[in-house]
Amino acid sequence: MEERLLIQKAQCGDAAAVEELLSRYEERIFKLAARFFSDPQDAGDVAQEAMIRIYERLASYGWRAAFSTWIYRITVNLCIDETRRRKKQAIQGLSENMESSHTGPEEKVVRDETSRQVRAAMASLSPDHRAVLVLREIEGLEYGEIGAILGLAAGTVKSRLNRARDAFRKQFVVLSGRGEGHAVC
Amino acid sequence: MRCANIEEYFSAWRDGTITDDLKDQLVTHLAHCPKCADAWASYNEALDALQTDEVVVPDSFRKGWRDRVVAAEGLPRKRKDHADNRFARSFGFRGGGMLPKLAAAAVLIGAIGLSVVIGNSYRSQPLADHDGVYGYNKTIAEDQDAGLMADRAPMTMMEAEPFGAGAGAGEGANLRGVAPQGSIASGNANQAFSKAAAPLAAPLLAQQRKIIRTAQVTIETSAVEETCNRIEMLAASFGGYVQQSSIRRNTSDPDPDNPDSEERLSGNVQIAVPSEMFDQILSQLPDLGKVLHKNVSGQDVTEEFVDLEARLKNWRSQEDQLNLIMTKARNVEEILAVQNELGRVREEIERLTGRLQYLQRRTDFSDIYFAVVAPGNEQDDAAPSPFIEALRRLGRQLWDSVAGLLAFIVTVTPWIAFAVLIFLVGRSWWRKRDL
Repeated sequence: MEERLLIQKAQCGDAAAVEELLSRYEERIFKLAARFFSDPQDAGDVAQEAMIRIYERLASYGWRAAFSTWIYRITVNLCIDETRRRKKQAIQGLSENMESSHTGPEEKVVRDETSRQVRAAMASLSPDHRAVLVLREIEGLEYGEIGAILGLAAGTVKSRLNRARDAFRKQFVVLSGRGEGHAVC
Repeated sequence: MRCANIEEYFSAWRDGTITDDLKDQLVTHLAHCPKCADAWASYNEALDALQTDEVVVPDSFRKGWRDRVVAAEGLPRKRKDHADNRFARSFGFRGGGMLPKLAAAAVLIGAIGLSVVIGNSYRSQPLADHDGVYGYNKTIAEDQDAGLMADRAPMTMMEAEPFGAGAGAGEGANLRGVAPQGSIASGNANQAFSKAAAPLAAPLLAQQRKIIRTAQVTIETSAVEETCNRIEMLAASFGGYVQQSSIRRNTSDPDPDNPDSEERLSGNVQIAVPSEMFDQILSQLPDLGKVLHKNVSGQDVTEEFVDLEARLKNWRSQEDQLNLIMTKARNVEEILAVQNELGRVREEIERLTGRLQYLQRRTDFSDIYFAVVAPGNEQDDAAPSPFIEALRRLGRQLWDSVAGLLAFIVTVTPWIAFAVLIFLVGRSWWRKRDL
């Protein structure tokens, strides 16, 4: 069913439409939350909260922005708020049991390690940096879309993304034991 | 191009937002500077790792949010408390303690009280609906029911009028409580949909809800006895039954102007009809006579139902475990102890089952109370003007509010006095202790 019609039906209280609409976004919402919270339990809680918040506010969606932007805005804002509320994620407390799709056992070990480093590096970033990094690198959104979600100008998104990438790269390099990064020639 | 500032361009380069000229300069630099080339490689490697870190959505999440949406009232207490604190903070209270919560609660109660007074005075204006029903006494419960009906109606509306080109969303459209649906006709379709979706906030998944629906109807007709019989037949034809029926002859106040005064009867009929037939029966009311009053209400018992079912399941599992323990009992004492416990568990199961069956019956069947009166029994002819009636109701509401406030003060005063006493005694004791 076309998304617009689905949204309208959902706004009118059609239970099936609500479920289908939310189902379409459940994966993206969870994955977004999972980038903010290294503990899958936390990610699940916040993603669930985001789903409920979207559901509760569905009636107030006014078509001023794309629906996906609206969804992202709610989720990212919730993630940022929750991250700030819970203070910094303890890097050492990273969960090892986040499910990942792997193939062979050797590759699994390598990818588990990389995955742990990625999450640890993400956890060391500020919520604002995490948000911009996830929306650009994972979700592949343009500066304008990210700006609409975070309420920032495209230029601000660009400069924040620059800093976020740099911070992430430095952390990742340190955690993966590949030195301190770029030294000035 | 200098090594010192080359990293400034990495982000834009990765996004492909740099000019070709700058890109050529960067490529040239990297070709001659291994350290910068390494830095660029590690930059991309790190960010690529971010993209390849795959996450699988757990089933617990998929199930979790659905459960919470279905049982909309079942939101975690934690979230509610958080909202309360946020509410208290919005009034300038920070930190814990009872005072901020009490103050916030007092403000909330005051606001609700005020809105009820204002809302009731506004609602008090007599209505005239499209069926010729007048003196229509709408209640708050009916408003809620209108909301529930609106929850059920939308699909009908959507199918009949995809962009809300008019009213006619079933009976609910006749009620003022569903004004937002009516607004669809004239307003911007998108905005209208947003407004029409207001009931969504008081969630739904209506087909899974358990709602006890009741109606009180007063019908004026010259053929009271015949109408009572028709109501009974109506109930039977819709798969319902009569719970109570009585006819009374009014001889205490003969009307000299009415030659039929000696024949003036009034009747009361209470019927129970399958809930799915409820609306259909109400739609046939005008056929029975002039509808003087109609009061429809709905009580949502979904939460209690779900709660009872969960508790029942728990108790049954306990019963199974006790039965298993019973088979392993070795002496009379053990058997007696298990039997005692089993008795307690079974008693609880019976209690819960009874309550569940009661709720099931109340939601499966809706009760409709009919009062059938002969012309002249009701005082509608002498009804005051809408304005006067509204003023009267407003006065009554204000008086009720003042009475409520007085009752509250009377109730609370002894406690305040007690608290002050405790405080004074405590302070006195504290001072003596310091000396």
